[in-house]
Amino acid sequence: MATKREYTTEDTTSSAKRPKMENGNGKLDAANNPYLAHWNDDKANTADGLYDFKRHATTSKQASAAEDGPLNPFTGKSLSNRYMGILKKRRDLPVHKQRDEFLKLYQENQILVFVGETGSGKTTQIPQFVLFDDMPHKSAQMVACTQPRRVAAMSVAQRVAEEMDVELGEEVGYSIRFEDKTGPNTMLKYMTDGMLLREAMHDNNLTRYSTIILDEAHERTLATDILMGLLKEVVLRRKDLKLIIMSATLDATKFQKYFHNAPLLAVPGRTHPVEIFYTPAPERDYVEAALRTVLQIHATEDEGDILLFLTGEEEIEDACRKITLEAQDLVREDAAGPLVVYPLYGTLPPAQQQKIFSPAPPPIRPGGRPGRKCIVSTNIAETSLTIDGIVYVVDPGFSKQKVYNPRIRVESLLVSPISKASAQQRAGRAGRTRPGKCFRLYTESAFKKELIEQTYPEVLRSNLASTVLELKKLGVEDLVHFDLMDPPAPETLMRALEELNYLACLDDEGELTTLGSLASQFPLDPALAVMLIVSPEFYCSNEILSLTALLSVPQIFVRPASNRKRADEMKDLFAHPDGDHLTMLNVYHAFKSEEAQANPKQWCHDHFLSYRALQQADNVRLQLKRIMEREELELMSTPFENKKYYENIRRALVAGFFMQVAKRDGNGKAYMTVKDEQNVLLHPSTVLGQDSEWVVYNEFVLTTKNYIRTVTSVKPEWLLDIAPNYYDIAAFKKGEIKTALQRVATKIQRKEQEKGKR
Amino acid sequence: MGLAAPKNRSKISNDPQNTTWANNTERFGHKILTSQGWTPGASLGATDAAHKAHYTAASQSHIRVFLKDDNLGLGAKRGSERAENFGLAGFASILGRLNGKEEEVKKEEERQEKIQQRAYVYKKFGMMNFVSGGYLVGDKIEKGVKKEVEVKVEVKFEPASSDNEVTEKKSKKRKRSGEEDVKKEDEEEPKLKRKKKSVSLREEAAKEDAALEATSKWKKDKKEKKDKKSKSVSETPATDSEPLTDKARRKAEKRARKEEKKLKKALKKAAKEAAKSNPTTEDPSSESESEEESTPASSVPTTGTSTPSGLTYNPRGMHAVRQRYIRQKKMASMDPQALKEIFMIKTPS
Repeated sequence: MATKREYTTEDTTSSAKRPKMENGNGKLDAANNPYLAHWNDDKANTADGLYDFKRHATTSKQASAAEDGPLNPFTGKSLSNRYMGILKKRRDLPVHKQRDEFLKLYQENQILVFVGETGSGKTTQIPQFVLFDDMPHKSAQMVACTQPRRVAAMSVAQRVAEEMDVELGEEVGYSIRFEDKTGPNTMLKYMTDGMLLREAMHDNNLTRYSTIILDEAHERTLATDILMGLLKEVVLRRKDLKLIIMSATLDATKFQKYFHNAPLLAVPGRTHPVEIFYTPAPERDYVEAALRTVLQIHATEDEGDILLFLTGEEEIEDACRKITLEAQDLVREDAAGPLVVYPLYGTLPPAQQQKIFSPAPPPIRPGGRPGRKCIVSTNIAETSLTIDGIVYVVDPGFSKQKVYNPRIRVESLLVSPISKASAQQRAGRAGRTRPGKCFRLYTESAFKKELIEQTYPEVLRSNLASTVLELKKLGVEDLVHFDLMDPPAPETLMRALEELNYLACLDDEGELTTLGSLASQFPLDPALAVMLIVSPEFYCSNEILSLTALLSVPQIFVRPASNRKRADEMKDLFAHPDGDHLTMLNVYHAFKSEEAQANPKQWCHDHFLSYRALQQADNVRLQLKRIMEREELELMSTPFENKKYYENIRRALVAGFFMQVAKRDGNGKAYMTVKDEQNVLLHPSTVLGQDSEWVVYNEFVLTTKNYIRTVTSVKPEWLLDIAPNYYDIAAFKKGEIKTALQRVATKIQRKEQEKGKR
Repeated sequence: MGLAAPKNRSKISNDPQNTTWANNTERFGHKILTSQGWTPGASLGATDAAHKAHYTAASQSHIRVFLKDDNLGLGAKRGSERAENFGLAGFASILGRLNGKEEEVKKEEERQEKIQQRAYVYKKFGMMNFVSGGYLVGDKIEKGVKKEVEVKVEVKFEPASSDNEVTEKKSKKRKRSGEEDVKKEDEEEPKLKRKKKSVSLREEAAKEDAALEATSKWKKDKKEKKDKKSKSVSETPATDSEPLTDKARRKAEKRARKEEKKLKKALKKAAKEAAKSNPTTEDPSSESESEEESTPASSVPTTGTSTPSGLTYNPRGMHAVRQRYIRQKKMASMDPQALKEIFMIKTPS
């Protein structure tokens, strides 16, 4: 507490001493600054509702009066009827009751931790409360509110624009990767956390913002974590910057501690009690138990929708099918009302995702048993999506989690037990509209003993190469003592540093190189960025640009369970014998051909390709192209007739991915990664023939086995030629790979000698 | 994993932890980190951070994962991992006794025994679920205690239904049998066929419902239930043949009389009847009244047990066909005319 008070006092004194500072405290500026006198005139003319507001000294009463109109306090236009309707609803939200309390804490402190459960209205209301007090437009600044997801940023901005009766993109806007909908008038900007991080790279003090709100901080995304570490330092440098951390979890002490014991404001959510049931004994098969529970709920419980959490796409689709079948039987026997089942997972097309919001089916005949909908979802329904009407939650206690292992550089995507926090979050989903029930398919003792407290934040589970590059660009020199809420394992950081060093993004002293600084301009993995930057040297930057775009979007090949064979046949149409990268490139070129562009949607459907992914790739390509043009990187292609066309592309691939190479182990199917020497298998989806001894891979994942995915064959000579630092034969461990490389090296030497002789 | 379990071979690398890399202190990353003041073994992050107490183990070393390749529920153990499967349970009880926890051990053993008994009964006849109807005061049931009517639920034993653990869910008393059932399931699991499963699934759901309702009051009428159970067990075989609804039963009687006169049509009719009895003809809610309370005036139950039946097991698919077939055969053998037809004996009628 002592430290905090110190900040606030400093805050006022410092701005008093430097009244000229542009971002200084508005009290002085607005009233006394003669240069800003025209502001007052403007206000008088447009009847500005905020005319007599004193920055950081307003009350909720004043704000309410301004909100009531009749003129929009921000635009001066008259307010619509719709606005009034929304306003009434807004005032019923739980946060509204504590507006005064919030304002007081906000005005008195630089950092504030705000805890509000889902449904409290924090994401839409708090930024507006801030607007009325902070009035960023008067100092030509903005209020930023970060969201972990693009969709959330977009939809919330839309909603708030409606609530404030302004046009989206004017006073209220959003900014997400590859899309910026803001204007010169924008005073409230919703954005993804990654976007704010990118902005911080160019403007280390974030001077454009007077208040920054980090929403959904409990999700602990990589970008949010880095931002928190960064802002913790920025608030020391900029006393006028206010910071609000918003979280939905009850355990906010960690946030408070982290931010120098910042004060906490908690607002209860609009939630109903949720009764929790455990199984008396552990379940032998959680999927089957889940299905049975769903059917039982359907047959016996009162009206209300069901939310079932499962782990992956396949499991979910399978469960949906089974539940639908069984539910039909129940209906036939008149034992229950109709049941509609919707799957929900990340890779589902948005149109299908939208379906989950459709209402439950009506009874089959009037007066019959009420219908019900059942949503079978991955953990995206845990936090990201809020579905009203859910009364029953079935929680088997598992989710698929990505974990990176820095030692062998494998990313595993495995089914693992969730955390207690996560289980509580899931249960909470049942009480949104009325009292609900949560059925946990494990025992109470398993809940207590087997689950960890909190889900590991992303920063502990990811490859940090691009993060380290960002941090370097952000001017963080001392990575060891960078104050993260959860510092990553030292080995993870080491691995990241080493990768960047081999990619020549960091020099041997650990300083950012020109290449590194250029690579950080691209919102890509360092390996991809480097590949893109050096591609002009291989005369194929156009192709590599397409490939980079394709590699940074979700899977482009669609392989529905019902039609696998046909899908594989279609994929074979595009197959290139040298590997998946080239196959993807073929797909993209075919997609851009006139024939396909005539009706791209149909064409994609016919060829079992994801239209959405390809379109996204097209979009990403355009954005990357702009960056390349800005950085004056030449775009060129080897003529297609040239027999080196594909070879050049493969060589460029090596330039970025030389650290991700595997050599065939003996004559079998098994491969072994270079340097880390891990046994891996080619992912079954590959089109690569079995005769390639050396391959470069895009990902090394552990799913059911160690797999390398998206592989293309390369020649060992290229490795030695293009990445001599990494392929320093003397540094290799004794073994098959070393001897193979030695053999290649001597061959090259002999060839050169022969050349010299001639 | 038994010998019959599917083989899942995978080659393990020579150095799956990549200690060659981890132990190498000459690496670039190691160099940079030490130059910035990190010492091996320490975690990263600000020195004397206020929130240090909140750090997890994952800040020390990467998160360990393990490959889950089955659908085992949270906290469940594979067959070979359970103590009682290799006789350690008995050993535990000896140790318990030696530690002077006689009473607890005894309780535990009694519990196990009960589980076994229940499992036996379940296997043999199937389970009965009851819902409390209040307390018995004097001679009449006092309804004031609880408005709910008592429902006697008859659930027929289904040979293939091995997954009964869910049934036991949420019922404290029945919980105990859960473990036992798990064991049983393990044995029977491979035999499960998809079709059977689906039938049992639905049935289980229904049963579970009853269990759920009963949960709160289960303990109260434990005694009552015991009596009933012994009764119901003896009654079960009687109802085994066909869960007829009252209406259908009356029809059957009438028909039986008719059949004496019109022997020729008997076969056909029986088939029709069977078809009719399959789907629940009456609204389940109207049937959930119990026979103990008041038997519906209009219907006269023909057997001792009236099976109420929203939750009755209705044979479907294969079972239905089979039952119909058996019934037809019975009818035919009782009916001289039909027999003649079957054996193709030509007699002037």
